[in-house]
Amino acid sequence: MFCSVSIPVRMAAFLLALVLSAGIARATEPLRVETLLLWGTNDAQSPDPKHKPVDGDLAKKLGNSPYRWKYYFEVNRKTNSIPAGDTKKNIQMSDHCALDIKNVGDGHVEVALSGDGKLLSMRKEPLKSDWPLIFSGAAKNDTAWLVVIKKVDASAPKPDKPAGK
Amino acid sequence: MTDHDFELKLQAYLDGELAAPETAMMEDRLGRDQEGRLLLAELRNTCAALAGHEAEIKLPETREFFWSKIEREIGRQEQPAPAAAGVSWFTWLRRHVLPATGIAFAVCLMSIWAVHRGKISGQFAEMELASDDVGAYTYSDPQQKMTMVWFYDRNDNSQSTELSPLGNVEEE
Amino acid sequence: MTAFEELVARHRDKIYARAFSMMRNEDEAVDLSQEAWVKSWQRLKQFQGESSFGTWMTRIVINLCLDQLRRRKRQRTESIEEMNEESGGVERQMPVVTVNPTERLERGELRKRIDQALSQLSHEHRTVLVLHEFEEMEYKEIAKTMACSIGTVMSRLFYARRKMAVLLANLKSEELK
Repeated sequence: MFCSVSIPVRMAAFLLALVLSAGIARATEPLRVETLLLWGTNDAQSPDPKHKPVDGDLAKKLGNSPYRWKYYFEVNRKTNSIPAGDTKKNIQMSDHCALDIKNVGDGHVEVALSGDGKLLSMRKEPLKSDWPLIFSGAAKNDTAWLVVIKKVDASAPKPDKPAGK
Repeated sequence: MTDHDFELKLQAYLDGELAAPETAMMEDRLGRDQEGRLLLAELRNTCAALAGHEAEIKLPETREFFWSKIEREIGRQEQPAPAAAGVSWFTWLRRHVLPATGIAFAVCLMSIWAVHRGKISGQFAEMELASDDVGAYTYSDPQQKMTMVWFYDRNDNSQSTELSPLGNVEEE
Repeated sequence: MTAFEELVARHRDKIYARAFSMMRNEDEAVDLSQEAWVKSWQRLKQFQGESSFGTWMTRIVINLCLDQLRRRKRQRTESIEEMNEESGGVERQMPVVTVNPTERLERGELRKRIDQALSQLSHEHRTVLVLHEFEEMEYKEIAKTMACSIGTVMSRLFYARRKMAVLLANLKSEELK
């Protein structure tokens, strides 16, 4: 039956199938996500020698942001590949803080932030490699905690060894 | 009428909030009730003391500094979401899709959908807070390309550190 | 925007003063008055001129202050005084103040004493006093603004006035000592 259809129509149908399958593949491909726990402070040095200062593009963004702290230190960093679907990836950033990230497809994630086991907030957002999502709040002595979530491109170089736990 | 009811009516009489028949009854009673007259005098003195004698308080910030914060906040709230700054599907289609008919047009439409859907940033961002005690401010900066969410404890006037995931980082 | 900045400059002290009179905290009053200005910018189109701009702005900041106080109240335990006020129990313990505590006081000193006395009231009592005595709102309007009954407004106002009389009298007698 397919043979009886005209060539232009067959070509169009083939292109359509190709495009559709590309779309489906993109929608279901795993997402590489990097999560960082940072400490914002006006002290030039962190009391913990394991903490390294944030540098690069992220440091520049934070420096130009409304956050009022001068220095940011990396407390922990994790990279995970999250498959698309209903499975949530649990990422423990510290003894007190965990993220549950679900890859809902098409570059979108659902992020649940918990503190001491209690859910704080759930956010659904498109995630781009050059557009991090940052959760933050007050910490002791007029400092701040920040949890940075960003997409890692497949072609990006592997990150340095994590600073913390 | 209880004593307290009378006291509240006396106050309403002073404030001109009593209906006419009740005003007449109150004046009649005050003619015979010395305690009531003393209480009325006290209330009158207090009102007179307060009238026009509110402390003159000045804003403890310079004009420029105070205004700069307001201006910044207005600018931030009026900043369009990154997606809103982009073109709509239909406009993009009209600009970039060559005139075509039937299936070829449908193919173009599908390819655009597959390639560009992921670029609509901000349009689908939604957030829920799990507790009434937690508030959040969200700030999306299209120039710096980052979205910041700041959590705070609604019940704490000062900056609450209860939400901090850092534990005793400064003591390590 | 320049015209709006001019409006801010003209009314900023008054709006801040209202926020401070309710919150009794400088930082909070600054934040809330700023928030009020931003809100007024967003709602400028809705301002029809039915009242003066200053009055309209004041209403905005009052509502923001009340929202903030309500958020705080959820966690706060009510004092026995506050619980008794509705039944009129506490006022009976206050003897009637027969001397005029503000007699022969100069304006500046009187303002200072009133401010001191106001700071000793609870938020609810201070608010109702501020709205009635300084904003000249009627009972019905206060009740609507504070989201309570007219009866509650009357009780709180009565208590607040009696307490103010005692506080002003105490301040005078401390000075005489």
